[in-house]
Amino acid sequence: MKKLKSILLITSIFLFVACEFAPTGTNFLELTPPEDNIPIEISLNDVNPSDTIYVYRNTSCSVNIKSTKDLIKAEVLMDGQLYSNLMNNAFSFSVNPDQLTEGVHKLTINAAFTSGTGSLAEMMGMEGYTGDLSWNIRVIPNPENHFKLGYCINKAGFLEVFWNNIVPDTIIKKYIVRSGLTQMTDITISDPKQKSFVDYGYVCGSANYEVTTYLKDGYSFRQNLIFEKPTPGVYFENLGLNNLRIYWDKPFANGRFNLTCESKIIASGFTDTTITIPQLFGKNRQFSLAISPQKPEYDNTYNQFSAWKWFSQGTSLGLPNWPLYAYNITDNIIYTSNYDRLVAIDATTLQEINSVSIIGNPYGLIYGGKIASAPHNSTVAAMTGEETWIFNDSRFINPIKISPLSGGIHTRLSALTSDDRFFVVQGGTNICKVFNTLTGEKIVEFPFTYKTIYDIPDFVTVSEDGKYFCASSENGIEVFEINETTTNLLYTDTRHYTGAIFVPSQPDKLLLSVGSEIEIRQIPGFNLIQTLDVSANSAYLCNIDPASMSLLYYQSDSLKVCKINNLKNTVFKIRSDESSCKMFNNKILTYGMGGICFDISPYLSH
Amino acid sequence: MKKFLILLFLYYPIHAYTQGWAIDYSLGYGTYQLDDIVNLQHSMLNNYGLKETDCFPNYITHSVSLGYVTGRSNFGINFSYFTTGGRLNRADYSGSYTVDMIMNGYRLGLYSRDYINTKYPPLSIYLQLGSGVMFSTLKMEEKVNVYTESAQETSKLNGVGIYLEPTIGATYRFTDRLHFSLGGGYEADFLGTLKLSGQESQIKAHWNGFRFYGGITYILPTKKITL
Repeated sequence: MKKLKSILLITSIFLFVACEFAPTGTNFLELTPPEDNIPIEISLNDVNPSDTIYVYRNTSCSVNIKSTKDLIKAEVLMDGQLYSNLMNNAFSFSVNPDQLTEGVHKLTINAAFTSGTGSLAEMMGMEGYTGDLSWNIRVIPNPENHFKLGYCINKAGFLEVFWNNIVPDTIIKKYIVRSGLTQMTDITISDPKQKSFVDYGYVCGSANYEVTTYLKDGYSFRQNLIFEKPTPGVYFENLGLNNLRIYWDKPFANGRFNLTCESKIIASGFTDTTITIPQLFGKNRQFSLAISPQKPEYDNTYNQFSAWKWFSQGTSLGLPNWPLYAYNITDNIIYTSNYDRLVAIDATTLQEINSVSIIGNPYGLIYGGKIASAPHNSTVAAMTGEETWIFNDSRFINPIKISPLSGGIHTRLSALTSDDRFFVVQGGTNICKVFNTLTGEKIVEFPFTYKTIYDIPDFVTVSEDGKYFCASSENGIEVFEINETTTNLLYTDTRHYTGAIFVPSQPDKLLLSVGSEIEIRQIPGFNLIQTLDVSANSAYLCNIDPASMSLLYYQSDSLKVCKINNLKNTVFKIRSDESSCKMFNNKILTYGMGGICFDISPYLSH
Repeated sequence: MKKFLILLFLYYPIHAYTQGWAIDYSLGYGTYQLDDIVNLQHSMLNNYGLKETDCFPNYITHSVSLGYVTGRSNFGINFSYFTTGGRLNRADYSGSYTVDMIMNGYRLGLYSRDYINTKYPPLSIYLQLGSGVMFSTLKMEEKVNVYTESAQETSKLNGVGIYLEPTIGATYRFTDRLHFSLGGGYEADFLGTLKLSGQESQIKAHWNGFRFYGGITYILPTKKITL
């Protein structure tokens, strides 16, 4: 019985527990389920999703989301990764190109909307609408770093500046090319497909181009191209005796050339780079080349270039103007003056052998007169502004000084003869003075009638052996025979003479320029041996080369050489303006222009 | 089941003795203040559209006691079971969301009752004072069913408090062994803070409220037993 009661008690307790309160209430709302689809509109900067968005700077993106339902949230995904969270229908976010790798990315905008039913599922985010739209974004950080300029010469020969742009043409508005050195105004290129510019204003020298890319959104970036191309150099080529080819480097781009020589236009508007002109001996000519763009309309202050160079036919001895010359056939030495120095030059190699400074008080050799060399030994005489120094040879030691016996540019005669005499006719006088070259003592002096008014050429001459003396002038001539200290007039007339030279090594032959002829007369009879009619173009005597026995004379526009025994046969001719040249050992030497020397030997037919 | 239990005790033949063991079962009705629990429920209102459908209503109580009767006194131990609950619910075509909060109280204590005779001898008035410990459990169960998705989460809070309940009532001696009683009192709870997984919360389970009992007492005489 007790056991039964215990069981009843325990059972009752469990039964109590089984009577636990059980809530039964419900709160069911009758709602209309949502539609399957709703219209959603997502726009990003009004860019068509089929187009690519180019990001090259911090770019603000404006998003506008429209739908009939409320927006819960929107996300911006970049390549599937959350990029930005957005909570409004209209919002903006920015894309920084520095935070993305270069290349193409996919930007997606996801938008979630309520279902609008107010259901439990909607509240729990398990019911609603979603929509997404994607754009391709191409990130180009620092597009200016990819904007490369280059240049080349196009097929037509003009400079072409070209560029490569990583930015596509579709977003480029224009290019502006600035080249202050070659173009007067900026050049605007409105066609984005055009990626080059032909600069007709460039020819050579410095170039500085600035090309600016303007994008349609106003952003711009620029790049500079700087380079420098050399100005053409001028060169010369001897085309034989008569022609000179002048040529120059082709400039980097097509050019237009003006070639002038001493203010004289040789070629103008020239497009070739070579020109052939006549040679002109005896001048050191400066040729100036002006280089301009080939099209004259592109000329400006900055694209004009010039080059110049000196040219002389022959070899310059590097002497000052108006050098004096004498030739010693025994030693084959040309003596000349270089300021106050008496210089000995090898007549074959033209190398200086020796020199001596003759400083006077106050003139010296620098203001001196003629120099002379003996036909039979190595003696050489130099007349300074005060006195005359006579050296035994080119060593220039222990000179015999005749003082006072000055020389000058007007000295008419300064000659050493094989009988060791020194004949001098000073300027403005009609007296010939004769000295002993071994002692310096005056032997004799004698007057003559016809003194010339010209310094050049030689009007007064003495035969190498010292036996005959001739003084000619535009008024007449006198030929004397000299016996020790007495003179004897052999011949005289009053013709118009323009020069007289005794033939070297042939003391009985006298070369004369008289009237319209060049004559060789036999002395003492004054008989005519040869004659050359130069009436068409009057001739101008230079000298007779003792080494080659050739006469050098000037006629018309040329220097001419003929053998002394055949005046009519011109063996050499060279175009020149210099009529005061001398020729020794077949080398023509100019009186001026620094002593230009031209060796005619290669042009002589032997 | 509840009706069956009541009938079982009503028809159980017993006689009353003036001294002996008394086994008592009372079916009662309680009012529950449970302010903190109600506040907790209300704090979840409107969450996902939840509405209150049940809010810890007054509910039936069950009590059993074992006491010793001697003369006009009765003292012993008492065990009571209280239960009530709340529900928040939201349902529509897409599914339902329910938060059930079942509150159970297990009260174990001592009581002392004194009888006062009336002019009608089978009927006596009694005064009783009871006190002991109140074990409270709050079982919270969230159920979500939305479309094909469903989830459920259950948490349980436990607390121990002290109660004090003065009661006044009347008994009717049907036989010497079988008494019927009616009474009412007021329970006041103290302490009773609920803990979640041993962690004390701010919520106190105070079952304060009126208690109404109607019970049957079976006396087991200790001096004279007649069956």
